[in-house]
Amino acid sequence: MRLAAEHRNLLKGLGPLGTNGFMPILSMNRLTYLALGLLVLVAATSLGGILGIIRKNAPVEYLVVWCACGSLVVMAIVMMLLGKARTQRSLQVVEQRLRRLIQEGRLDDFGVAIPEEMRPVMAALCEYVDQVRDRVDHLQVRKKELDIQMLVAETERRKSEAIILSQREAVLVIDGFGDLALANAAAERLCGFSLQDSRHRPLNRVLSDASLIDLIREAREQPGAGACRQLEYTTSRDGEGRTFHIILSPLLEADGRPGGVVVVFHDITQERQAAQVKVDFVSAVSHELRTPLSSIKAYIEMLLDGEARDEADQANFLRIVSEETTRLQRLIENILNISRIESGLIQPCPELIQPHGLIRIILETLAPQAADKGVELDYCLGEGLPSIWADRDMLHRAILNVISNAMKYTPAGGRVQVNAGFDAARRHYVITVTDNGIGIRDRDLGRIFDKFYRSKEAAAVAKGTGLGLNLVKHIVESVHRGEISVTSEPGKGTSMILRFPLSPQPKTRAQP
Amino acid sequence: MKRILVADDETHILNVVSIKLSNAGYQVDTAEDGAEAYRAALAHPPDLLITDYQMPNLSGVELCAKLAADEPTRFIPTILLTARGYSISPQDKTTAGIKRVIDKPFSPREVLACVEELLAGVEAERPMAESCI
Repeated sequence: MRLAAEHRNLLKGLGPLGTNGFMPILSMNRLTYLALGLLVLVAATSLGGILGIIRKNAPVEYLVVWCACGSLVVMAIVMMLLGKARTQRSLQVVEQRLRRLIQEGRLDDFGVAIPEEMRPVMAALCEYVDQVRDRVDHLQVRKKELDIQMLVAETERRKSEAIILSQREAVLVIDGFGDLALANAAAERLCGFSLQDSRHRPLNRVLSDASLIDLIREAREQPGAGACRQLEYTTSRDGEGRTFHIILSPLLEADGRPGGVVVVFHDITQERQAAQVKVDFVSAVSHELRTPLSSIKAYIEMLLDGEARDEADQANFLRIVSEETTRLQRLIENILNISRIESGLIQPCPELIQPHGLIRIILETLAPQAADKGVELDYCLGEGLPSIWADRDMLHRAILNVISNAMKYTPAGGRVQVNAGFDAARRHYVITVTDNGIGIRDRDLGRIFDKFYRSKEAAAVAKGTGLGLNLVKHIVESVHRGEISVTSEPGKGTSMILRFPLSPQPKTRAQP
Repeated sequence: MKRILVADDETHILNVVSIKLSNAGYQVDTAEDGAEAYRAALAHPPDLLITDYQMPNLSGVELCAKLAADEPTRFIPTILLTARGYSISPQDKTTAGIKRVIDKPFSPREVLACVEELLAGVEAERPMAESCI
């Protein structure tokens, strides 16, 4: 718009010499032709006169004519010189004005009257300037469009980069040449490189995993129909195995050529572990339920088939069915108790209890079993121990499980020692159960509280479901806000330490 | 009288299978873990072995594999009586020479039928083997 206005001003300055109409009155060319015509006429006449004078001894009249013609020639020459001078002046005026406008950087009124002889030239010049200006205008409009497109593209690039960099999942962007174009912090950590040092470097100099490089190269070079590829990728870094769900999204150029690939790593390690735990749990529950159920089904079938030889056999079969039913019931209760504690559905009934009294009762209960097995069961309960807030039944279950566990994995001739005391510094009631049994290997120590987990050594020595210690841990830690810890040495024995805080009263969970 | 070795760390299961087979006329030996069963099998190779999978000291599959590796016990037909039948791969079954897998809870009738079928198969194969010799 501004340029168009400036252009209009310039044309206005030229006055009648606009692009569409100028008045050719007397141009420099016409003046020159007139002068030349006169010159030729006079020259011819003079030549004739001179020839006549020479041939015929012409009279004085001829000489006069000759002189007149000579005068005309002189006049013509003067007119030519005058015309030339005028043209030069006009050119100078135009040139000076143009230079001044150029110097001032203005495109407006020409400011001076254009000499008539310059008007055709100026008109042609204006037309040419019009064309140049049109071209400049067009190019400037195009440049503005490109500037806008570039700005939009840059904004989009920054937006995409910000999105990629803010992802928690690892993201790699590979360009059409197979070089690393972009990667976020998660990808840097996962693949072990620095974006600053690795950007625009070939992928095989950035990544170390050849299989991953091949996958990316394949996705980049053979993008198919632009479809994403999804696959699982397992890697081991710092000795820790991790599983990823990888999405490889090929990037295509506008003409359909392969242009790169975006790789997103979704870490599914925890999901897989959780799924495995679930499978293991269901499998273990299934196994534990099937065992007593097998006895029940088999003995009932035996009764129905008349396989019992006499009434005593029948009674024995029925007793086994009854015992196995109780075992099944207890197992289901244990599973449910653990499940309820884990989900916060159980409602403990806390009361002030003197645990050493409870310990004595439990030891008396277990004494015959210890004697049968040939395990010495001893205890040392401190004097004046305080009471604690606890759910009596649950506390009973926890202490019983720990002591019977110690007896279970202590061979005949071994010893189980139960101590109770008060840790004044931490205000904890502490129960320690120590045995000199088979012990626990280091690799199993971290898992002995897992549901259904049984070490190979434990499974070889005694039966069990792997639920007992898990329930103990829940009772101590989740219900009573206490602590449970274990130390052990294979072949020498194990110490299980239960700590219960004296106060405050344990919170009871409201049933939802 | 055919001799059958039954191995299971669950006493009730051991008893019920023993009674069923004894009532059917078989001589039954019992073992409460894998190692004991292995020793018993070596001492008196049975005509057939019924074993649990998950047992102390030696699992059922390990027991079968060891027996399959020893010449005197190599061809003892074996039934695996287990609550973990799903976790035994076909390769384990082949390597350990396990003929059948019966899932717990099980029917003693089914166990007996399986025993009779396998022993009949062994009887049928024996004359052919002898004639080949």
